[in-house]
Amino acid sequence: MNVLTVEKLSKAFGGVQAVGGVSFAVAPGERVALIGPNGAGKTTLFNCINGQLRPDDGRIEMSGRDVTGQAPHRIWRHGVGRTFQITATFASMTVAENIQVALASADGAAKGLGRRLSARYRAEAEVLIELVGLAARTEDPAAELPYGDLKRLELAVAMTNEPSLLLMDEPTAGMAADARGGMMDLVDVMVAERGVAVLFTEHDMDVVFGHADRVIVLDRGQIIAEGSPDEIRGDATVRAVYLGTFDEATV
Amino acid sequence: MLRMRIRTHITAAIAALLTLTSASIATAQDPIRIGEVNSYTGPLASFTVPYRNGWELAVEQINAKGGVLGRKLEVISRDDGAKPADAVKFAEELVRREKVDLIAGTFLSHIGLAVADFAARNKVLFVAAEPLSDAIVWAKGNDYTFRLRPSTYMQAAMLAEEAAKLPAKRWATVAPNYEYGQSAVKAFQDVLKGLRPDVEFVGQQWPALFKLDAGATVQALAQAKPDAIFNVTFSTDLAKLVREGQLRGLFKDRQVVSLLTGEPEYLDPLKGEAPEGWIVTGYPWQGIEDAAHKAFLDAYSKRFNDYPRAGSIVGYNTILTIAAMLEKAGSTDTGAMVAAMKNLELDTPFGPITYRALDHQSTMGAYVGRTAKVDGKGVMVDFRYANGADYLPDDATVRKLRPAK
Amino acid sequence: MSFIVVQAITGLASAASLFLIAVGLSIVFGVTRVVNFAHGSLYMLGAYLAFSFTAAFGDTFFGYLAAILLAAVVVGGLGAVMETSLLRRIYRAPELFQLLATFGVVLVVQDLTRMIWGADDLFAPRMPGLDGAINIFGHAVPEYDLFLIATAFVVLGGLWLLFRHTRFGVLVRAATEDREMVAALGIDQRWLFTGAFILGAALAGLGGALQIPRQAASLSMDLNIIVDAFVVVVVGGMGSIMGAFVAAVLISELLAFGVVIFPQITLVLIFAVMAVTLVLKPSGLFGRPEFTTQEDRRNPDPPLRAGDGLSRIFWWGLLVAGVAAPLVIGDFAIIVLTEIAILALFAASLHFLLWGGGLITFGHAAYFGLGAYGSGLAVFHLSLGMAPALLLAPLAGAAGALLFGWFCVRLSGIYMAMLTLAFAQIAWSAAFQWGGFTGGDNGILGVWPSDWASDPFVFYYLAFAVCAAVIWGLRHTVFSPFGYTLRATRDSALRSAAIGVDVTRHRWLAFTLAGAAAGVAGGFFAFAKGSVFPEVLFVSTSVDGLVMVLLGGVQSLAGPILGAIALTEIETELTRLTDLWQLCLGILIILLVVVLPHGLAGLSAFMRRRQP
Ligand SMILES: Nc1ncnc2c1ncn2[C@@H]1O[C@H](COP(=O)(O)OP(=O)(O)O)[C@@H](O)[C@H]1O
Ligand SMILES: [Mg+2]
Repeated sequence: MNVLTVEKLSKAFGGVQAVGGVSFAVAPGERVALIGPNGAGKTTLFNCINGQLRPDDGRIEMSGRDVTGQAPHRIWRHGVGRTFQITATFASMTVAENIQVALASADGAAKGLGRRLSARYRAEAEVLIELVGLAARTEDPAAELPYGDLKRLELAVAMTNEPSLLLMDEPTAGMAADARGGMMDLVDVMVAERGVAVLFTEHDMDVVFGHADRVIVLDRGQIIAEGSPDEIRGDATVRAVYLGTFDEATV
Repeated sequence: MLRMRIRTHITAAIAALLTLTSASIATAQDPIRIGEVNSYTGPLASFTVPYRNGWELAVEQINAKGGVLGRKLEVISRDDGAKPADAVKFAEELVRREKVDLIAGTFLSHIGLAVADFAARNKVLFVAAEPLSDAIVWAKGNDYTFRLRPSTYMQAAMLAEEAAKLPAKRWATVAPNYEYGQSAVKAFQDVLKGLRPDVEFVGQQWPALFKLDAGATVQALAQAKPDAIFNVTFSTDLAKLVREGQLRGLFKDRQVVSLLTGEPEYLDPLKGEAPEGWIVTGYPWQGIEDAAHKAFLDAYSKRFNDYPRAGSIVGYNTILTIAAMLEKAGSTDTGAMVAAMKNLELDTPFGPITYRALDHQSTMGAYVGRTAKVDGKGVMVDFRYANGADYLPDDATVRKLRPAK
Repeated sequence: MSFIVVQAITGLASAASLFLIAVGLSIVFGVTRVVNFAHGSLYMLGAYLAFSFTAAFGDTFFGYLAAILLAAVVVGGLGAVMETSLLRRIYRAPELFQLLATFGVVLVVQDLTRMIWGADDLFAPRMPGLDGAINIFGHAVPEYDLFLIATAFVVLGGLWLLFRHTRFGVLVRAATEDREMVAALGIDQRWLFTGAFILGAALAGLGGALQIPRQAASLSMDLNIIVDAFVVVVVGGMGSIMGAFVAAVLISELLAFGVVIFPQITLVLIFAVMAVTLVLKPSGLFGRPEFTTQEDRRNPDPPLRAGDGLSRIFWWGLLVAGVAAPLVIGDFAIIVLTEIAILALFAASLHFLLWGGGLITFGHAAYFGLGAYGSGLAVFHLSLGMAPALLLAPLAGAAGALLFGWFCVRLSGIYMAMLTLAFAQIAWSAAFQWGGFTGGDNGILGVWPSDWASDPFVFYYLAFAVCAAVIWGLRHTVFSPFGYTLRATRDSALRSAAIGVDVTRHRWLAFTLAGAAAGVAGGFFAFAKGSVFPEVLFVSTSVDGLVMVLLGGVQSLAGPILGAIALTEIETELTRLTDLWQLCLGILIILLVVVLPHGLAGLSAFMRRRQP
């Protein structure tokens, strides 16, 4: 069964049809890249999937269950981890605490009034920190982390509920070109070790072609092409609407 | 007393290190200390500052004559900022830290009630100077609280008596929507209906205190087409009502009966706008011919270079009350002072007054008359002194109103 | 029918007054994002100045008009002084600091006005030429009312022209709609802010000056108008001129007809309108939602550090002092100490929301007051003893917070602050006007401790023990998973939702918890004072709470306690010393915000920074 099935999903803002009848699916353990020019509707699509936005029309299923229109915190319970185009972390907490809060939530203990959080989920947190390579910064406030590390932290946080699907909106945006590979290698580790599927958007075509099993191309809210990286590379329509801007997009 | 015991031990241990404050035994030279709480800052200052002048004058005059019981009077005064919680706090301070012999003061009714309740609880004599609420001596009256100023009921009754003489049958009322306004309207209605069963009340307006929406309220009153209007609003609300009512012709061919409006505090700010022909209670300081009042007026004008307001008389009489009570009690023992307050008789610039043993209300009255304009300013004319004793319900009724504790 | 028309015109005249004051507030907020509490003080100053000017040269229509305009200009100038000397320093401060600083200005202006003009109401003569009434359908309508309505339309039109056709106006609009954009355009924001503030102040002055033919200039004008002006701005939408206009008309007409239909509940009516608007349209009728894509990361708090050496010493020291002090101090000092313990809990519960959850509440008095009333009413209506009555206090506080919080936690930032204020004012109005149940303004008396606790010494230990325990509980909660999760929703609501936190519900629970804690404080307050009055629910109680939190230092758990100690001592001693204590307190607050934004708890850091 697919971890994610999207059927005829639509979302408009006023007159702008940001997403217009999009259908696709993601299989377990699959790495799917969603590409398209700026304003194509990628973030909107993500926001619909993860519940931040309520779609106007269409249907979203996760592992066979209809989750259309559910709030983000409910979607998360279906095993979805999310990272944001602009990172969202808890600035006043340390790296460890960021993850401990998420672990508490995963454990259903977010409303607990008992023992101090700092003394709980410590070991699990350290495993995740180790995994994303932030061990040296465990006790540093998130507010002091460089951007690349914040992205790693977000990844670790997104992994706390052992998701079956990771939604990553531009996971390497704002990172130096040489660091992007490292970040995506990390994602590959998650896929390999934890069997998670990944749906990500990306502008860097090296990253896309190097780390996706399948590519979906979105333009003005519509899917204009879908296939393996090689197929997409050779697709004429894609070239016309999108790849012409490759050079710009990779800057 | 647990606390005393613990304290004794501690004191013994650290006595050498601490300078202990112990209540010294009063000697003949020590002044008699009167604690005083009122709202001296903020918008109420225009009412309480003349009141403070009044009591200051009385203290000075009495001390100049050697004080009372051979001791001077000393007033320790606090500003409660118009907050009842702070009034109680300062009452505590005055009693516990300043070791005053009794407390006095307050202007707003609810603050008066809070301090009265404090006084009963702590068994301290409280001379409530200015608050008007009937509850202070009736529904919530207590053994330790005595009130000087003529109450809402008394003043409303004075006006109802005058209103009964008018031909008007249809009455409308306008009063601020809080206890003072509500009980004034009720007292006025009750007394007037008793005297004139044929009157009916055709409209009521209850603007929020100091938030009178004048135009709308005046229109709504006019809409009820009353023959006469009973007004309880005061201060800024009154000014708005008067101007808007005159502009819109509300008062044309209508009698208006208005509580407190003859007090300089409320009449003077209206200046040229002061209404004419309203029947009011108040304080026509310019026109009172009694020698006692003349003496007060001269002394006050000389001392403060200003004319007295109604509050000045209340402040002055408060200290006169306390002095007379002390002479009668012969000591500052609370029991003796409370006993002395009952049936206490004294002379004031308004004439003799008595503190009724029945309900602890003084019989100080007010002047009832009509407003007029002289030299472009509002004054009271055709006034008479209404003795408070004549405007209280009969004793049986009062006993019912004041539940025995 | 004719009555309805005339009443509608009357309502419009009130709307005109309300619009003039509200629109200035709205413009200032739109550009600077400062909610200016002192706007009402500027309005009051406008009235007093106009009074003096008309006395000097207001004998003719044009003289009077000139007096009104001059008052507006002078108030605009005072606005310039206020902006350049105070506000400019605090634009980057959190919203609450700004609110508090402007509240300090309110106190200062209140006392200065009294010093200059005296405490008596000052009633100006009518405006020459407009001192009569004209007949409309057989009803007399004051000419001045029509003049006022016309003036409002002239101002509305003038502002429209200004904002469409001048560079300044276009920039003001741009800044209102998108702050970052104006900053990015490289425009010197300073003159823009100053200009907008002068405009807003002058409008407030004009509004006040235009009142003098209708009402006396008085010292209660400032606070009387400001809350209404807030309501208009919030209902209309912050920053929207048209919104201010429409809301002013809506509210004034509602009141004009409200006094006819339900003369008793006008106070509740206006806040009910605001609450309904905010629930249905959280950014007001014409406001646009604040686009904050990213949480504010400018000044994140440092991570929590539980129990390092210094803080351990502080907390134990506090406990020891609290236990030992009554043994050596006098009776009255014990009573003050009791009040401090109670207010420290009140402040701590507010701090828990503000700092622990980023929930900006401006109406925390509601839950404190409900606790007090819960206890008071239990004594009064049910004749319960002290202990059971005290148990009801947190329930009452929690119940109120549960109800009000459901609406409030759906909003954020200044809208949330305003909705909490609206609910507190509704509670206050209800307590004030629902005399049969609450005792009305005469309050509930006789709420004294039971015999066993009637000695101030015993009552102190009881209050201290319970308040200290609840404060400890709140502190513990901050460190618990619940508290961390709450802080997470403050740091990033987006991220919190993405890790499975139901942000709204979590905030709602926190609100309720804080309400219960404030209720405990309220219950003890009732027994400490022996009475309960509507004042406990009033905005000044909320302000006291905020002053304590900010005075102590909002970024520290010790802050609210230090703040409660400092404020109680300052108020107790200042009022004994001087009639000008409001002035002193106001200056203190202003200095505090400007010089010591981290409060007393930040003092040590401040000293260190000062050293070369
Ligand atoms: N909250 C919003 N309100 C209005 N329009 C929006 C909103 N979010 C996105 N849009 C519009 O929807 C379209 C798709 O945007 P987005 O999903 O962010 O694209 P992408 O992530 O592919 O760059 C754009 O035209 C954008 O302007
Ligand atoms: Mg995007």
